[in-house]
Amino acid sequence: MKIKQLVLRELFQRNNQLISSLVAVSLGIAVMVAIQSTTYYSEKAVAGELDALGANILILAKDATVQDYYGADFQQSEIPESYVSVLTNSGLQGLDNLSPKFSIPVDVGSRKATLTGILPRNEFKSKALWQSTLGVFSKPQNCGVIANIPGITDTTKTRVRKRVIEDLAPDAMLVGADIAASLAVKEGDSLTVLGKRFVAEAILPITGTVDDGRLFAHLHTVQKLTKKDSVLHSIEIVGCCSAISQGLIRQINKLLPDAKVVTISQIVSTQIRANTVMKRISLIMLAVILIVGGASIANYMFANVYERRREIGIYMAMGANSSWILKLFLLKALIIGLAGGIFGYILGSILAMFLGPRIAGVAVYPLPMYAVYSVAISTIIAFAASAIPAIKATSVDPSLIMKED
Amino acid sequence: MLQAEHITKTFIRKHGTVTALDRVSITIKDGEFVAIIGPSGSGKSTLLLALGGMSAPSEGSVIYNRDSVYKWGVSQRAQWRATQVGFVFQGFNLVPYLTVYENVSAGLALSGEKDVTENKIIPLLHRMKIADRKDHVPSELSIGQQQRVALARALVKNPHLILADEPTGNLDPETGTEVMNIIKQQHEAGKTVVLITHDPAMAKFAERKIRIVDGKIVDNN
Repeated sequence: MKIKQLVLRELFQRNNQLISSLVAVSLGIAVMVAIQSTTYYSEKAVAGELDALGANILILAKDATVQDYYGADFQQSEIPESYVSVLTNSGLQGLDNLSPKFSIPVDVGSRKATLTGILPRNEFKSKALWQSTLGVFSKPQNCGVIANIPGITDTTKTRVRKRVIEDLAPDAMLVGADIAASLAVKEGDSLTVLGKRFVAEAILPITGTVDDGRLFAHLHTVQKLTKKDSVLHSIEIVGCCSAISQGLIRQINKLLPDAKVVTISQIVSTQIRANTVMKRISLIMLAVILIVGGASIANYMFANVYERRREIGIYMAMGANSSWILKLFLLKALIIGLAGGIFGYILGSILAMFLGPRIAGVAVYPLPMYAVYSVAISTIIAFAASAIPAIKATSVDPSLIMKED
Repeated sequence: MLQAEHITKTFIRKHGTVTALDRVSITIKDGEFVAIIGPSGSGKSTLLLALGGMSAPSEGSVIYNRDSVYKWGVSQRAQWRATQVGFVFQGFNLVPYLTVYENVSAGLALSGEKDVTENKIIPLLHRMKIADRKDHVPSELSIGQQQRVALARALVKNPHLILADEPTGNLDPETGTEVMNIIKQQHEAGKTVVLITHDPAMAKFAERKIRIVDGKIVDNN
């Protein structure tokens, strides 16, 4: 008869109190898991919406000025193209998309425009760390957008853009909506810029930004035309908002001390605020679980020790020492903790999947990492709540047990 | 040899201090069968607990083979009980949610025996005539069967010292005699037995009787 069997047998024999205690812990864990899971996907959705606005970090030359965020790449000062590889090889988390740019003013027909050199995806295909780099219009792949969240992801549009960027050839050009309209350029038409003939690969949709008045060609084509090899005016980064809030800008500054790193502060602060609120709610829930769940288990364990005084005395008479008695109750706490964590996680995940779309408007799926957290928290609570009753059990006076005979 | 040397045990109660044992001294030789007799509340059970290392006396000492039992650490005393002492109680004190087999095997497991196998338990259950009830819980057994399980639990580890507190107190005379015969067989096998009883018929099984009244030894022959 091993102590483990003894604990299990006792648990199943006297399960009324156990069930109420287990329900209290499981419910606490379930509520926490449900809130955390919904928060996680809600944050993702918010981040996705924010990231869908476009690049949120700009890397410029140190002396560059930023009067207009969307036109900030149009600078006199240059930065080395090697910054791109420094960033991609740095291992920094939260850099979802890098978009190096080189922009110069050009005359197209009777109009003045900006020719911007960009790197299309096909150039990055052979470099594993650059796989997510799609170019200036791409969306983040890892942190921002969850596939098929209704109302957030527009997969059709994304596919069209990917196709255009991936297929951009050395003599191909993307034409901003505004300039295309004023020059009456259609897809497939020819354009001569800086003495080189380009084919309008696509007319870009209206964005409401300076991009509408721009022409986009391959970065290296533009650099060659202007005889400015290996330099850029800017690197646009789509950074995960959560990573930005956790100090991504500071890390980039450290990595590129000679560059200026700017971000859209409103976006970041919005995300930080959302994160802070969610974290506070989680902390409150954790406190509730600690109090309610812990009190329930402690109450159960105290009652259990009282109820089993005679049994404890018998074990002592049979030769059980204090550590054995302690183990008897702490093993029980461990089982309650594990069971509470597992039940709580399952229940919480189901709750989140059911309530998430109705309350937060996002699809929620079970997060395996929360199973680990649930079990860990539940077990710690069970242990902490059982410690005093278990110690009390070791000091049961066997002579009192004899008197009850 | 087991000795009590001038042991006094007092309890502090609401109404004042109660002296359960008053400078009690007894000597029990190896292999001896001693009955401690006396009326209810005379201090018999308190003496048994003190002799068994379960309740430290307020004064005096308990000596087992020249070692002072209460100078040992708690763990060492527990180890001594686990290997050398078998307790049998009036109320049987079986673990209610364990089967007969499990109750007995728990006694063996707590003794530190690594090899807790059926080979060691089943023959004993046969000797105690409870093998056919091995999968039953105590509430499914008769009173006599429950006491036989309690005896089996105490004897399974082959203890040198058997401390029995009114083992027949809840049994009818016939069943009580059966249980006493089992205890007598243990004595005949060389074990030291201390029997607490207020029943003169059961005390007759012992070689020597010690009478205790109001916490004092009044007869020690």
